[in-house]
Amino acid sequence: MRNAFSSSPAPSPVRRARGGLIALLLFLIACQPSSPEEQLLKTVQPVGSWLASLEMTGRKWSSNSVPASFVEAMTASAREAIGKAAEEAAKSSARPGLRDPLRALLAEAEEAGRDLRRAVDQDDRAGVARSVGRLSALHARFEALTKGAA
Amino acid sequence: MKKALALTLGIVTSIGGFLDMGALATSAQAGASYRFQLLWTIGLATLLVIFLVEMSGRFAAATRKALPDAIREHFGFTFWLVPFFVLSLSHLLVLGTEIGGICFALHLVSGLPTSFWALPVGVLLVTFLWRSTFNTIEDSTSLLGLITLAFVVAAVSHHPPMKDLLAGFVPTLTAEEPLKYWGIAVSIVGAVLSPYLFYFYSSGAVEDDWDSSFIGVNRGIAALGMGFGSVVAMGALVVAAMVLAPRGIAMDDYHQAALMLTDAFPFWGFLLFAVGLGVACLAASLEVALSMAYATAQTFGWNWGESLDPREDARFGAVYTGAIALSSLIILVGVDPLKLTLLAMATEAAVLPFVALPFLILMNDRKLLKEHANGWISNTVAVIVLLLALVLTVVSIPLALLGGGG
Repeated sequence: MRNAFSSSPAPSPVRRARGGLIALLLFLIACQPSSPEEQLLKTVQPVGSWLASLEMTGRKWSSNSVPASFVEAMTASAREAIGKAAEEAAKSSARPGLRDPLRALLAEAEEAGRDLRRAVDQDDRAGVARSVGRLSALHARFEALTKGAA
Repeated sequence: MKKALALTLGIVTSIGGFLDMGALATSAQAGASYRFQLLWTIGLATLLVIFLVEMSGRFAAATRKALPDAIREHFGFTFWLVPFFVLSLSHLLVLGTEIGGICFALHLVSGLPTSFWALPVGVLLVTFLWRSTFNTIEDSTSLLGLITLAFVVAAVSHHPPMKDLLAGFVPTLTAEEPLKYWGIAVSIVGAVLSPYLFYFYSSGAVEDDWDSSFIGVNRGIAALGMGFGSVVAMGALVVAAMVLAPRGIAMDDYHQAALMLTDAFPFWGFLLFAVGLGVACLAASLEVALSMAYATAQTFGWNWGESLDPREDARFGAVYTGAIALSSLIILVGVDPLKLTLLAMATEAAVLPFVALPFLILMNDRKLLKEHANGWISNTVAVIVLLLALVLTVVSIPLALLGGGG
């Protein structure tokens, strides 16, 4: 005797595979950040890495491990990435308690990058050391702010 | 002696095919983001690529034919035409990536923009390919490629924790940010399993005049050559894990990778990175340009051979010249090399099933290969690669877009 279940043909391997792929894509989409705060944190996430990169670049220039042209290229890439994050943060609808301190920090980060480049251009080792210290403090503040909000 | 020297084919294939811009970038990104947790992906990709390279070498030695030639003959011109066009597109993008890598290395050393170097590098590559024989390319890139061992020396000098290092060879299912983790894992496997690697190796074996007496040596060459590339890629991952990860540098841009060797080699590290990247990308550019010319010439039945005078195989020379010109143009217009690498790896993953399936069928053709046809071990690996290729084709693009892998 056939019932409602046995009357439907067994799904073919192609259909099963298609179902699996759709499930995988849905899972991938479901893993995306949903709230404005989560989206903002994801947008600004690379900034921590850029601050650390600028700090390391400054230190390496001071120990003659990288040329000035590299500092110029690194600060240009960092400025572009931080600027992009700042633009996104300005548009964010996340709560002001998170968004505003982050925006202020991003503006400071852009300025610290500019200072580092200026100091290297002028071969000002004391200035580079100050920029490195400032970048290190900004990185620590960034980590505290983003980890505290996550 | 000739057989011992054949090792250079394995090393040049490895430096150009295994250790290219994509593999270096993804290995460094893996180490910077997940420390040693993704070492297993390089281990897995190495094992698979050793088997595939061994098979393509065995095929060439047993039949004295390169793969595209045999696929066209066996399956017909019409069957091969679609994979050939997809493969050609993939070749062009990968070539653009590798030329971008050389230009980026020159940008690091000179401070001039990456795009500035596109034309000089294109002219240099064409001149080198026109003027040199296959043996010159093998020997020079193998010798220059030894500089990439700087990554291994740096990795050892950092004294990575052995327990964590060994644990990295076991896949982790509970990583932070799973999308990014799997995105990078897929990118590493996709970057290593490059179709052009097998085409270059099999055509190179024909160029080197291999016969069935090379089949035993071929196993050693595949294992040692790919092992070389694997050790260097693992070295890059370990260095990134020891230098970039503790500082919180996740490698979102190639400039960040340039700092990797400066802890181990404070004075020379920056230059070593630039030269290592430049050499790896130079070898890969030559390999991809030749692979495209081999595949095209073999598809249309033209004369081919890097050791021939360009007048004897003008169309073969015209293909690599045109390919280099087009790919240089991509960099000249200012396309970001990192974005191009992601796109190139996705197309490589997409083309892999088209290449792997006919390859598997050919390797089981006992009329063609006689006693050298695949046994069950090789077939098991080939089926794993085919399944992996299908998964890569489907997930590589969504994972790269959603997880930022690669």
